[in-house]
Amino acid sequence: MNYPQKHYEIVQNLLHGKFILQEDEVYDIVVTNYQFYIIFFKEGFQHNLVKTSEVIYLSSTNTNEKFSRNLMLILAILVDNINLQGKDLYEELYKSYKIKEIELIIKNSSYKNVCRNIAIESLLKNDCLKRNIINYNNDYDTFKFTSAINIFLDQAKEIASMNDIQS
Amino acid sequence: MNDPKKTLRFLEEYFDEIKSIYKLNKQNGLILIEELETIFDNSNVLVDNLIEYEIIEQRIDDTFILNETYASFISFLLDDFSLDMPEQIEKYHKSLDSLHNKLKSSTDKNEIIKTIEALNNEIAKFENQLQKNISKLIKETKYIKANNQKLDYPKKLQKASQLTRSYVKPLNIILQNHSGSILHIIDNIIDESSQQRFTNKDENLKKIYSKLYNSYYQIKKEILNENRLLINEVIPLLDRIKSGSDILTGCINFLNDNSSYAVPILLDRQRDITYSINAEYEAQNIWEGYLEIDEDIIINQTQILENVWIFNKQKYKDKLLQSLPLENFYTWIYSELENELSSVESKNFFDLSKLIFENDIELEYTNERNTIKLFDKTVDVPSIKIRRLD
Repeated sequence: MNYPQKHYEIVQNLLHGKFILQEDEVYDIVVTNYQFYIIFFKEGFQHNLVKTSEVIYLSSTNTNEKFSRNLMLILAILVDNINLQGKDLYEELYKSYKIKEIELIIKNSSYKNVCRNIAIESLLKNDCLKRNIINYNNDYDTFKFTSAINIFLDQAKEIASMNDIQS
Repeated sequence: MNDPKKTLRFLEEYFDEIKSIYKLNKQNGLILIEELETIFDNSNVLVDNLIEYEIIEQRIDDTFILNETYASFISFLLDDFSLDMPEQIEKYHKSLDSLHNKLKSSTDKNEIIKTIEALNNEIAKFENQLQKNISKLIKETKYIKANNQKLDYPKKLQKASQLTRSYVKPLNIILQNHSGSILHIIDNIIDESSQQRFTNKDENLKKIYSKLYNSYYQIKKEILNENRLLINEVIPLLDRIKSGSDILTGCINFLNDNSSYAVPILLDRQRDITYSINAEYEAQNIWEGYLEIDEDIIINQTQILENVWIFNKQKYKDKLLQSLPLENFYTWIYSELENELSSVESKNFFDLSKLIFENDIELEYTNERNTIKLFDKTVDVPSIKIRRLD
């Protein structure tokens, strides 16, 4: 049986919880072999392969969602802060940040309590970096979010629409 | 007929006053004689001039209105446009349609020429108004986006959705190519003129039709371009404001009660092995996980490891070679072990005895035998002399 090119890299990345971004070389390979990979991950690992126009990742029902929830909280505080300054959300979210800046924004936020048990530096430098959610620039000690955060922003839109129905 | 230069000079000299009239006219739709008198400081001559140059027109009820030509000229000078309602643009649909029908049914040459002239005028007015409105829309959306007033998302959204609802969507419908649209009529006029410019028997009319064809063809390109601006610039900008506002609402709801909402389901990262470079972070993560758990931790006392003797062949072989020649191999073994261990066990003794099988030594067996007392056994061994193999 012939496997797609870079099969090992694709499987390793996805199984390690990494987001494959649209600009990554392997994105197109997964898209071309999308049906194969859906079955491959479903039958072999019971994971679901998720594809958006920007990212590809694996999701599993058997998971501890702590990381996802913590990141969502941090992003939500950032969004709130950008709004309070009257700035454009998309431009601001994708600019360079220092980890200290993020910590300061959270510290000064009225929602800081929800983040009190989150080790922000470790979450960003360790989990987010390894999952391709941020790019880290070691020369300047800054990072930028990648398009992977869009799935969290989409979730926020989903939450907003849930409340529309309720109210 | 008034001298145009004289009129313009008057406009220039009294522009500030005329600007006040323009504002009143825009606000109230009319100007009262008392207001004119206040503006011109009771100078009747000047008010008469205004009427004489047809800048204002007197109505039957003795109120005044600003002449429409001047009103649009001044609004152009002041760059003071408000967006036209789409209905004001839509009206061209009717006028162009009826002119087009008239053109098709006319047989009289003069009437055809007049109708074509009217069609050219009307489309120019339409194009002008459309362009003005689209650039105004772009300006307005960019203004919302730049957000110099530091409006928050809900306020921005309110402005943006008002623009979308009242202007952008209706305009887009007007400009789209469907059977009821202005573009459809323009297409019909293009077809008609294109046919006539070749088939009409009158040479003069051929020329006029070809002019009509050219101008409508150009205008169609312009309109498509305007609609492209609307679709590519205005609509995405407004959509972005809407989606930003939704994200904000969702985020605030989530922050207020995060346990009630789902988060994206991802995969847990696989745990790294202890000797990997990530081990420190992993350990830290696990440690943070336990920080919240409040329970007693019992640490058992670990037993001190005994000093276990291991048969290190190379070490003892080197020692043996150094001690050569030996008179009695087994007594040497015993003394070596005795130096290192508190009690010499048979296991250690026999392990070390294996040295006798080494190749680079020469053995000499004697008839003498010795008894060696070990911790757990007593052994009867021959006395063996060992020399270096030459």
